[in-house]
Amino acid sequence: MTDREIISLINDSLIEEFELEESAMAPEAEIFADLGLDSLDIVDMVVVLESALKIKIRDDAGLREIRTLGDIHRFVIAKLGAPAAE
Amino acid sequence: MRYDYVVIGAGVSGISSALLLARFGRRVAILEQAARPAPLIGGFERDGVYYDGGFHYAGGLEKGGVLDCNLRLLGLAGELSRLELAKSGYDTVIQPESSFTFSFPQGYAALQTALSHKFPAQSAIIADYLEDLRAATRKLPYYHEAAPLSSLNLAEIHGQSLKQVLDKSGFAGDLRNLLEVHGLLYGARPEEIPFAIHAGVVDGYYRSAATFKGGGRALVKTLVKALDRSGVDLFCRHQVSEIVLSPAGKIAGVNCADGRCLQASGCIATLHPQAMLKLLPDTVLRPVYRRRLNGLAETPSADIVFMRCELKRGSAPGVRGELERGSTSGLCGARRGRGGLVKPAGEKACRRHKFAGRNFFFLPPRGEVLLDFKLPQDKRLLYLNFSAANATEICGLTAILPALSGVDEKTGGSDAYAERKAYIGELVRQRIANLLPEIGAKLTVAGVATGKTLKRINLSPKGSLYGVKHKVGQFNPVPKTRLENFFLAGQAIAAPGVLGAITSALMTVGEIVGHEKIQALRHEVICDDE
Ligand SMILES: Cc1cc2nc3c(=O)[nH]c(=O)nc-3n(C[C@H](O)[C@H](O)[C@H](O)COP(=O)(O)OP(=O)(O)OC[C@H]3O[C@@H](n4cnc5c(N)ncnc54)[C@H](O)[C@@H]3O)c2cc1C
Repeated sequence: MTDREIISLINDSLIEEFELEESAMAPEAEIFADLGLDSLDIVDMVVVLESALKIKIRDDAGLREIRTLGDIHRFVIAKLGAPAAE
Repeated sequence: MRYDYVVIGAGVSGISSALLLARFGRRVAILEQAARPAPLIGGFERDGVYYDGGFHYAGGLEKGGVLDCNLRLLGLAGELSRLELAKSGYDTVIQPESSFTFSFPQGYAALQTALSHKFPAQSAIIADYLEDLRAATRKLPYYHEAAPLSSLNLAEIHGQSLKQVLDKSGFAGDLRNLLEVHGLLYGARPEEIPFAIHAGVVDGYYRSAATFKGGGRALVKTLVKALDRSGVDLFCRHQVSEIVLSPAGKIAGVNCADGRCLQASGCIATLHPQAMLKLLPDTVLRPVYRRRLNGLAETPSADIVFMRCELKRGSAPGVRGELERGSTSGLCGARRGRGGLVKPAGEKACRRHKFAGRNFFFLPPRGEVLLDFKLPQDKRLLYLNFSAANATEICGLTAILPALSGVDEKTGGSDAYAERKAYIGELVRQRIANLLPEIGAKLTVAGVATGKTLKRINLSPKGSLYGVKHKVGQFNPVPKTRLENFFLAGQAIAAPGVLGAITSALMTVGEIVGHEKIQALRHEVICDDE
């Protein structure tokens, strides 16, 4: 998968599962302030990303650093690029 | 009348939530669909014998123990009499094939000694394991003072499973079965259950195993009396069919199936999370959240056979040496128990069934998975509880034979169902007669419950023992939801069991009034954890 494909897969999943507006999906959009998610949604966001991309990120400390949609993109791309944890 | 909070469901979690909210000045009503409060744990009486339903025994009822402390928090200090189960063996595990037998004695120290005695080569790993178990409970909210208070944090949930912990130390064979057998109390397999949750359930029992004088029925009575004192309105036969929202999307109240309605500005739902979803318009909670809740794995169901068992104290020869030793101690009057909440039970001389207050776990054949509910019924794990509640020579015996949840759906019309119940009753009676010959001739089946019964009692959608499972990798819901002033409590949130249900109420009301306030209350009622 190219980075662009990954990004659009992430965006599409989030749009569908969280009923977000496509026009709001700018990389600089803050997930809480702009996309309207709240801390309760983080668990579901993790579940959505894991199942859309077949990765496991729930234990990842990097999750806590995420502020914007672009952070999610970079986080997932890095995760997919990194050698799979055993 | 407009309430601050309406609580859906008068189970242990609902009543506990209401009591706590009332304590913090909220005006509360509870709506319960059944004809009586806490239908799951109230038990029933037949021909003068009391049978426990969804409550047989609990751990942590000793003074300062976690359940003792939580009951005090609810304002129940001194109202229930604690009956400690048999001192030298409350839970007897028997492997019928090999005659392996072990009885769990009261208290960690005695347990460690007994296990090390039986498995001398493993005594070092036994000691370490029991220490790990105690340590794991220190991370559970409202279990230990130092634990994080908000919600179960992810690392705990997705930490190690019981299996991983047992594998690491190299436990195997009979010893391993002993450490896994209490999985029946939460309905998940060792590879599924997070070690922290396992610890939260068994730690209390390992400290001390007890019940209340009068059984689950006495607990319900006490809870209801407390509701009354607290000014909480309890409405039974009120099945909530809809949570009503204002045009602005805020909680406005609830509607019941029979058209009655009740106004409230907040709501705690304690019913099964999947049943909860049906009470709200689809647009309120996110699709992804609803999908997650609908996808939660369910605990197993069970066939439950209630039997009357009449036996004079000490009248019959022992089944096995070990069994006999464990059978007579401490139960009568329970005066020797470390008295918790809970005044010790009366001094009256009592005639008591010699097995009263004892439990048996009959294991499946060697090599079979302990909690494999697909095994044929005569091979599956069988749990027996001889109720401590009847202070006579007649004992209400409950036999629980776990089953996959949802199997009863397939049972056809009422004749076929009655036939199946009769078949199960007889099968279990015979199995017990073979396993415990001394009581075999004294058993009469008084009633049979199935998954269908469980489903009817508390409207749990799948008729399972403990509702939603707690499982590594599965995110169960937390108390808070996206909908303002709408919270969840119940066994799905914290853990199964009476302790889990009360814990969920503390977590939930903590979200509402502030965890620090609950913590302060905790200090007030003086709960020393160690
Ligand atoms: C056979 C069996 C044995 C058990 N043994 C033990 C034991 O020995 N020790 C122990 O600690 N635990 C035991 N448990 C577990 C324990 O009983 C439960 O974990 C605990 O009671 C759950 O409490 P709760 O409040 O979460 O759920 P529930 O008691 O199910 O409460 C939910 C309530 O909501 C009501 N309700 C549902 N839908 C609606 C609606 N639409 N409107 C209004 N009301 C509604 C239900 O009727 C129910 O009363 C046992 C369970 C079973 C089944």
